[in-house]
Order: sequence, then C-alpha cells, then structure tokens
Amino acid sequence: MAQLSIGYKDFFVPGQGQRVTVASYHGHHRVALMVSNFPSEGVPRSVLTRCGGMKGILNFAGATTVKEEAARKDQFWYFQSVFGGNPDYPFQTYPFGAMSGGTRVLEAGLSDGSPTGTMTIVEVPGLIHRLDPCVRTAGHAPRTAKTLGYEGDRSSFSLAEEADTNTIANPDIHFLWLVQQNASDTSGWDGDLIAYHDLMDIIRLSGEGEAAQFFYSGGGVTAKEIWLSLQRGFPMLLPRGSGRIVDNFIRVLDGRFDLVDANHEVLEQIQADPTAMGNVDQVTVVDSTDPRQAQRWLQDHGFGEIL
Amino acid sequence: MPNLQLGAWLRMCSIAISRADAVTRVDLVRLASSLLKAVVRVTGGAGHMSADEGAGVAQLLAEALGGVDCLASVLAGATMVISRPEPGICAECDRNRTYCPLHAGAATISHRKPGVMDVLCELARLGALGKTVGVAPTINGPRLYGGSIIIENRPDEPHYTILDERAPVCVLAQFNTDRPNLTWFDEALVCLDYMDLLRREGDHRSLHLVYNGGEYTRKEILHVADLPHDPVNPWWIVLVEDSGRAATEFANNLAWRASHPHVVSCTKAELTTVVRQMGFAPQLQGV
Repeated sequence: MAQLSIGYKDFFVPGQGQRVTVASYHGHHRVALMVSNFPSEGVPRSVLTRCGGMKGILNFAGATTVKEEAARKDQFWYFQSVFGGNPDYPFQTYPFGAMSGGTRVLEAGLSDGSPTGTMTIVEVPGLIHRLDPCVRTAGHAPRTAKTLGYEGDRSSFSLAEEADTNTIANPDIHFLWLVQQNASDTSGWDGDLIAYHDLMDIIRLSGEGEAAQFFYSGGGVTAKEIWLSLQRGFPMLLPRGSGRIVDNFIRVLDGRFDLVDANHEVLEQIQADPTAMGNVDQVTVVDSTDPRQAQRWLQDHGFGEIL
Repeated sequence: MPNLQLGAWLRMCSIAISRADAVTRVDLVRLASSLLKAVVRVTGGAGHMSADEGAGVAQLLAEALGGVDCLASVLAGATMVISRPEPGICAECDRNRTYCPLHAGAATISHRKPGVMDVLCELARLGALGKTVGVAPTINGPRLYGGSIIIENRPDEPHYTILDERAPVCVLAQFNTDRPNLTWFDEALVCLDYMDLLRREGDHRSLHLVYNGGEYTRKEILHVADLPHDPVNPWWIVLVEDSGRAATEFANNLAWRASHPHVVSCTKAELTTVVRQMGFAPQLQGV
C-alpha cells in the first residue's frame, strides 16, 4: 500500500487541537466568522463574496463523530486517496470550493490542555486544502443551544461541548458561516441545512461551476441532507460501505427495504412513496474501497481530473 | 466555464426595503470570481457627449482594461442612448426624404449614440474573461416600446435612453413596483455597494474610471473621492483629462486633486499604460 502524502499524525498532531480564534469581517485572518439570521436575511452577501473564485462547490456531509480509531483511519485514507494524496490514485483537483459543517471534534476537553482533532467528514475540506492550496474551504454550522463561544477560560471558539468531546471551529477552513434563527433563538444541528443548500443553489446559478454533495456515513441530520439534495437536484455521491445512513439509503435505492437497519422518518417516507424521492437520477453510488470510482465522478462534474 | 455571451441575463430588483437588494447574489458571486482581484466601475458620458468625445470610447476603455485579456470585474451602466428620429434622405437610394417606400422607414435618421457603458458590450464581443455586470436604474418607470425597454424619455432631450440588451448581465433596479422611479445617481450607488462588498469581503482593489460625463458623473466623482480614505486599499479614481466635461474639469482642478491623492489623471493616449501600471489590467507582454 502506497504511503499517503500526509500522515494521520501529521494532520492531527497529538496534543495539538489548535487554538482557533475567529475573527469577524476583514479577510486577513485564517478563520473568519460570519453570523447571520436565517431565513430572514437569506444567504448573506458577505458569505457569497468569500465564495468568489470557487469554480463550483462540493459539500461534504456525513458523520461528525467517529468513535473507532480504525474507522477514522479508513476515512482519512479514503478521502486523501480520492483527492490526490495517494500516489496509487493520482488526481489533480481544480480550484473548487470544499464546504462542510466547519467544525472540529476534539477528543478531550479544552481544559485538560491536550486536545487532539479526530477524523470526521468536517475535516475533509481542510485535508483537500492541505493537498492542494488552490481549493478554497468554507464551513456552515447552526448556532445550537450548546454553542459556547469564548465562554469561561476557553481560548478556542467552542461550538459545543459533550462529556468526552469538544467541538470547535475548524482551523483549516477559510471562513465559518454560523446560522441562527435570530439573536435570541437557537436551533438544532439541522438548523443550517436549508441555508447552505440555498448557498449551493446560488453558486450553481452564477454559472461559475457545479454544486454537488459528497456523503459519507452519517445519521439523522445526514438523512435530511440527502432528502433536501434530492429535492434540489444536486448531483450526489454515496460511497457504499461508508456506513450508517448512506448504506441504508443505498439499500433503499436497491429496493432492499428488508435490509435497512435504521429507523428514520426520511427512510420511512421513501418506503411509503418511493416516487417522492425526487431527483434520484442524480445519485451515484461508488465503492468506498475504490477511490478511482469517486474520482471518475469528480472528473465528470468538473472538480478535477484523473492523472 | 466560458464567459457569458451578449444579452444573457436581465434581472429586476426592488430596493424599497434595502438598497442592498440591488446587489444580486448570483452576480456578486460572478464578480467575486474574477481572476484579477480588482473591480472597475466605468462611468462618464453618454447622450451629451459630442461626436468627437464619443468616437471610439468603447474600444479605448476596453483596451485600457486589457481588451481580450481583461481579468477584472467591470461595472457600468446597461443602457443605450438613441437619438430621436429625424427626417432625412434615404441612405440606401439617396432619393426620398421623409419616407422611402423602397427601403421602409430608412429615410429617417435614428442612430445610437456612443457612451462609456458600451465598454461592457465591447468586452463581451472580444470574449474577455473579465466578469461584467451592467446596472440600470428605472428613471421614468420601464416601458416597452418598439421591442426595447425605455429607461428615460424626456421630451426636451434630443435623445432617449433604452436598456442595452447587448449587455451580458443587466440588473434593472426600481424602488418598488408602484413607484419605480430612481435617479441616475442610484446607478452609481448600486455599483458602489457591489464594490464595497468586493473590497471588504473579497480582497478586491477598486477603480472608478471616469471618461467625460455630466451632472451625475460630477456628483459621483465627489462622492467617491470623499469616501473614508483607506491607505491600504484606496478608492482609486482615474480621470481621462482630455475626454471633456466633468473628467476634464476635475483633472484641471489642481487644488482639489492635491487634497485627493488617490485621484489620478491621464490622457487618452496614456490611459492603457496607466490602468495597467496600477494593476487593474494585465501588463502587456514584453513591457
């Protein structure tokens, strides 16, 4: 097996979760934070201006918590192999925009002094940017009831805190768009879905490139994202074998409802009326052990070329 | 992705709630995607330019912005000035005076007058990669006449103004449906909104390129020149000093220019070199 361009421990340096400070407005900081009300303000023009130069946009959605180390490494290998970091699968990315939830999940709390990042879907844009700096990166996240900001002794902008993890703004993205209902009200982790789908629609309409979705594993929120993307008609890539909702959705596409092992309203809705799925012809299923298949899809949609 | 062709898009927007609504999101993404992080607003004369002042203006300005190699975002008006029909001799057969039955209607003279906004069509015609958006305010309420959208038609003027359907992307701004009327200065303000966003969020540099112009151009020069000074990214203004009227007047006002160091003056002959040296167009090969 060929050695990847970037080692896992070079990317997630043990003990270095990275201090992430966010700065509103002027573009000379690494992670710019833009907060806006949605739907009342629509997609802010400041966010769209920062999307300038993205020749198309590819959103990565899926699991934001991966418990097992082996699964993290598999995911890290897969995405690095797909986007040109594996000499066995040479690939040249074009200067598109890579977007995701814009967070980083740290394994330990910030207070113990040794937080380390972990591989999840939201790390993919930063990983692609490290492989090819021409790719610009963006994040979108809802302001949930758990969003903490710089509260207490936190030196990083903290988006949520669980018992054993802490979620901060991802240090490897250019800007983070934080969506809230309004200054008083918070939302759930699905509070930004329509907002970022609208952003993708605008980029698609601008004629600057394709807007597409790359799913990998995931749970209930990802199911809603699949549903929304089906309705909007975005090209979607689903790697078979990536796990959970993606695999269940592929089983539904195959007509194997008997094999679906998750209860979710979206899957139930599809089971009740498969014709309601929408633009199912836009869905491409690939094998998660063969990066070439995903590369062919990326090439067909103008995100890069196989070398 | 190829550049948009002539007459690709017309968007209508109302600014009753917020003038920012005229900054259409899709066009903002286009402008922000220019290969050169620079936005140029071309402003100045149209209907009231003399024949000498207007001769070759579109070609001159397009060439100054790099011609086919233009990589910047360009904003200008999306209008066209038409002189009123006058009785004349048929240009085809040189016989009939007011109406030529052989060449239906050809015995009237109704020609298009050149204006600075023609630069958008010229860049599109050249196939330049620069991103262009034309902005047109509704002055009297848009009306359809003879297949064109009339923007302004004042009986006391020897010409009328229509929407230039050749502009690749045109934003037609009105106040609201019931009260569409805006002024020509609103065109300048809408362009300024686009430029301000591109400067603040897109790291673009900006240039107001002024050729000739009248009352509203004068107002626009004063407005832009007195914006809060940013020493890192000035609101550059280039006045074409031998283009006539407003541009010449301000270029010759040395006291005013001394207090506005971000205002540059040059002749038509120097314009291409100056714009390129300022970094708003690619340098010529071998220069």
